[in-house]
Amino acid sequence: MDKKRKYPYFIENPLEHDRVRRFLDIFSAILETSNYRYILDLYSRVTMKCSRCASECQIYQATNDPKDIPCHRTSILLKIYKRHFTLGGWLKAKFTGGSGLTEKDIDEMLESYWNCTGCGRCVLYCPLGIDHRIILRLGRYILSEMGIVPKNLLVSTREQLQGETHNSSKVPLKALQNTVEFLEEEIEEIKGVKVKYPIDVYDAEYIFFTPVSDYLVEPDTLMGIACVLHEANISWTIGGTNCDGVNYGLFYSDSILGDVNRSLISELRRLRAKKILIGECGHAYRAIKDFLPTYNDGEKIEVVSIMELTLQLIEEGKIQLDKNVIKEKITYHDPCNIVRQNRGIEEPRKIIRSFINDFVELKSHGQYGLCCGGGGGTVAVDETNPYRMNVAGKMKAEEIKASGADIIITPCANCKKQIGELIQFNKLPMRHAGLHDLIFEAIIMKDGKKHGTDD
Amino acid sequence: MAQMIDFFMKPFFIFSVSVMILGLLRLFIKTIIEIRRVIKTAGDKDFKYTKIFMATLSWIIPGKNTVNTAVVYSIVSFVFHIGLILVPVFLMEHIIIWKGAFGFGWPALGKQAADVLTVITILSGIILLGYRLFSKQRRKLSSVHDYLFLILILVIFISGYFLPKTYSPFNVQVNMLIHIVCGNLILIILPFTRLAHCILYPLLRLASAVAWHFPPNAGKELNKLLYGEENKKI
Repeated sequence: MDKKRKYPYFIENPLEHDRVRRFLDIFSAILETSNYRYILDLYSRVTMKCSRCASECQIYQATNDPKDIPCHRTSILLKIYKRHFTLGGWLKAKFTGGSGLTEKDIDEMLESYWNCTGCGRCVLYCPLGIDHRIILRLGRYILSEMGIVPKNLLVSTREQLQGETHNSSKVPLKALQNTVEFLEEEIEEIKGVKVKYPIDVYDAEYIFFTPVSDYLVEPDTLMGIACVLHEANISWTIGGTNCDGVNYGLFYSDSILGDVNRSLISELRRLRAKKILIGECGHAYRAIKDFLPTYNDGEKIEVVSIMELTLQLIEEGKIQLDKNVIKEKITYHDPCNIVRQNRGIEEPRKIIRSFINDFVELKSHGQYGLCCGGGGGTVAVDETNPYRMNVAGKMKAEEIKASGADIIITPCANCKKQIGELIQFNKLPMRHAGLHDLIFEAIIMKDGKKHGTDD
Repeated sequence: MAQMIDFFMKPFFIFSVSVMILGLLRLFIKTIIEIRRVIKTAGDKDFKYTKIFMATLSWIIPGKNTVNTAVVYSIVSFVFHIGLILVPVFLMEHIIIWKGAFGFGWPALGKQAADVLTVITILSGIILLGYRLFSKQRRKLSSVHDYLFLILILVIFISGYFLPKTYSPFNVQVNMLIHIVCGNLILIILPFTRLAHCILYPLLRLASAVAWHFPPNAGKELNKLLYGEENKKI
């Protein structure tokens, strides 16, 4: 009998036996029911493993271990595909006696595929345009169907899709209502204006999805967003049945990606909202913006990020920000899931420049910016904190420190958690904030208090 | 020896070129058909073709992408590929052989330009081989094939360079035989090895973009196949 295996993260009911056979069965089933075969075929035919990507991978730069080079990660799965699912691989094994998939390969994948944050920076540096992210995600997908997936992600997804609360943080509707009531009171106290967080309002212009954890740990972001929407008189609503923008399927499962998106679509239809508004969250934005059309029978629904909307409202003169409120030196971290597709880069910067006087860019920024080190769902896996601090986030911490900023803004729930932990771990003399946290401080409410007054 | 050289320069050359062209064409068409099939089954059929085309183009034309990282390696690799395409296709002697075999030709590179390009290709090939051999990261990633491809190309270019030279260090006929045998060999293996990226390159970025456009029911189909029901218990 095998001795109990150690996994680098907690998993529920780990499969101890017959893993090779199970892996190949699942791989085969995925090839049969999806379109991955053609890209595996193509990549295994052309990949030259020049390792140009290594120069820009922050994981490899921190470990200097060739196993962390993106094209090596990709080659593990490509090798298995070629050996077990192509005629050439079968013939080669027949004549040269190749060994095929081993337990060791599975151990390497389950560690390697969750060490990578899937930030996609390597893709930008690959001369052939190999998208390592899709292979990484496929590797995670196969493993997850074997039950090898970080427990935190699994439990959150189970609650979101099959639990009573329909959200990944298990927040009951009553608790959500209490939280937003508290936020309303806070806004009234600070800004002197009654601002509503509408829940379950029918026929609104926007239905608002953000990671539900924002309601628990990012009140300032949500107060900023509510003030912007109130001040511009935007019709919006939070879904009472489903308000959670988290979609871990983006990182490891087609099945979950589809189910979460379908649940958002049904909430939008239930409330007859016209557009989707995404809060400050990189992966929620990408999961909905890029994948919603796939699961909506081709029907287009407009998906807008809160940054796009806020910028539009500033440019239309519907909201005013006080330039004299934020006096600290500010820098900005680009969430990978927003900027890698070369979008969402100018909007936050235009907003920042509209009310912040001392803004400095990080050394790497925009489409090519470094990952926070907690991307791809890894930040939700608490037990990987030492790895995220010492390896994945090492270069980011150095870059943040070099900026000399007092505040680093990042409009993403995952990045906020990782960067907050990096600041604490490295004892950096600064704090992190969401973009709308600072907007909340600077927004001039027409009927509210003036900044700095107590009445 | 002369008969062998004749054989490799005409009948076998026609065979090699046919294998190469038909093989590469098959790959190119097969990939386009696959991309079309995937687009048909994708839930989201909206693609930014112009953006993808421009991204593909930006890696062919020297610019920001060429030198955005690993600058020396990138420039050497770029130069190597230029020589690798221009010399075999536009060398006067190659065009004459082609004309003898297929009956038509095209304008050739000047002799001096071809010589300079050949030397640059050889030097850059040696540097790339050095990168594979002496850089820890690249050595770990390289397979036997990666070395063999580079060595084969270097043998072809070095033997080719000395062919018309009066100071050739090799026996002219042996040199010629090595050059044309290796030349034919590389034409034949092109469609069956990773060197096929020469024809598939223009489609790679499009294929990658398309791969993210999943069939809407792929997850449910998988659940049905593996667990017997569309919505499995998580």
